[in-house]
Amino acid sequence: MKRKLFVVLSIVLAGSIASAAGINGALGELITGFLSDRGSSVQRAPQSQLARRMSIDFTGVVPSLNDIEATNAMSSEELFDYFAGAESMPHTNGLPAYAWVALLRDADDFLFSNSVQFSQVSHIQEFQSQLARLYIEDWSYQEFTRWALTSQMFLNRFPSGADRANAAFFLFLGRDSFTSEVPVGNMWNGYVLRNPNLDASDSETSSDYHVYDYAPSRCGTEVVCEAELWSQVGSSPQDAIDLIVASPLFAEAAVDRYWQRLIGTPLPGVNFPIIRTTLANNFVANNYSVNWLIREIATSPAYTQEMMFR
Amino acid sequence: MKVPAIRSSKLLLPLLLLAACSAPIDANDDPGGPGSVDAGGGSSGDGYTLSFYYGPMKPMYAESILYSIERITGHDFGAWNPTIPDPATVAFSNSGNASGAWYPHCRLLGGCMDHRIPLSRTSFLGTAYVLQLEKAAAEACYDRAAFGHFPGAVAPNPSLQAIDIINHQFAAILGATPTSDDLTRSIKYFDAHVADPEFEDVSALESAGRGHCRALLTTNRFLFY
Repeated sequence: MKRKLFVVLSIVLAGSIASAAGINGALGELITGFLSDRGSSVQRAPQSQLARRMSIDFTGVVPSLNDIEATNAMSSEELFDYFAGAESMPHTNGLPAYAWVALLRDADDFLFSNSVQFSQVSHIQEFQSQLARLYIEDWSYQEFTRWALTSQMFLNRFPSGADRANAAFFLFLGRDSFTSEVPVGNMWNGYVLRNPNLDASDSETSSDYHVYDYAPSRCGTEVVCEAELWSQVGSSPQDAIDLIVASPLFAEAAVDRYWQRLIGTPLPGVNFPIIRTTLANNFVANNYSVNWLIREIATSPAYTQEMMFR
Repeated sequence: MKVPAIRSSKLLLPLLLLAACSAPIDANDDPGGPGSVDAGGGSSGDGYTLSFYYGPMKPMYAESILYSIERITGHDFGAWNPTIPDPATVAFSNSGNASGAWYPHCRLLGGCMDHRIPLSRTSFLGTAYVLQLEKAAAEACYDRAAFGHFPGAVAPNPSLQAIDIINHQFAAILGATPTSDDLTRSIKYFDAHVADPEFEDVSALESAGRGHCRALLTTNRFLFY
């Protein structure tokens, strides 16, 4: 299982790195090309408007008079570095302002959404301290996800394998799981799968009622059964996690999340899929760095153009 | 001091502005701008047309609104700690992880999420939202100990001109210099309010400046960025 995943991941990475050569600013080029094809061009927002936008998005507050003066002649990249590099501020509880804002928004997605609602304070704080590493240490989002899916907070909140699989899809793949993806729940169940080759009294060792259909051919004489998803076979929670974080959907869901956060509208992927795939490929090539992803979006014309009403 | 009741006419303008800005934007609407180029080119409702012609326009999070107002005016709404979301000890009781008016303001402006009440952040800025924003803006701008919204962060002295306060507040609140239309309207506001001050315990200029602060904080130009 791990070997297969490694191969898949290597192919994805190799392809991404190859396509990433000379692709810095690819998002900007795509959007500029899109507008050019339609006889239009990028209209950068007035400096004060863009500074205000970045200040609110990356420090959580409007710019001070000193900020406005200091950023008067900065490029988009310099503006981003100025505000994202701000030190802690009175409202940020000692955190760099950039990390504080990101954690505030992450909390909506990971901690307090309708579907999640974690409740134990110590777990929430541990989860947030790990999330902060994404922004402060530039920790890999993929590694964070591996940690999150095995954290006590996650295990407590979602006690069954099927719940964990569904929650993992919702949180990290951006959608609920389809019926055809139920085997990932079986995978997560691991040894507690009900094995039709054994007597019920021997195999039904769990009170977990989320036991779905599975192929008896995948079960031997042991309690452990295998499950298949996306042409990959696994039989443990770790296998399920490996599958999820190596999926192309994983990077694309992260792209969707940060695009929505910064642009305010969903990424128009259906009609213009190259933006999502380009960003996702480069996100992978940059070691799943959300800092890279945020900077890429925030310095692109999608973010730096003038707003419609002002 | 006159009764600082919120006049209905003062509410109407921000309400209308917010309603206009919170209305869904149809990507296929012809804005009369560059979007029409695409529509003329055979667009069949792509849904992404406007995404690349304009930059984002988002309403500020409640937390950003309140922290920004604090930064602008120097008023202290209270404290809030998002890592300890415990409504049982927090909600409107000045204990736990929140104090002062912070939590009520934040909650009613659609922010300060917690795990007990499964609400999403607001995406509709309705009447209750505007009323709460009016309340928060008035609390901060009318705080007699807060002078951040005046030049030099001190009480206006007799040599100060209305134009100085207007320029300062546009920069601090909207991050921009006022246009000529802005100046015309703001000077008219100051003239009317200096002639008939809302508060009698401060100078007429300070009274007008505090009202002008509240007016700017309740416009769509402050809320959307």
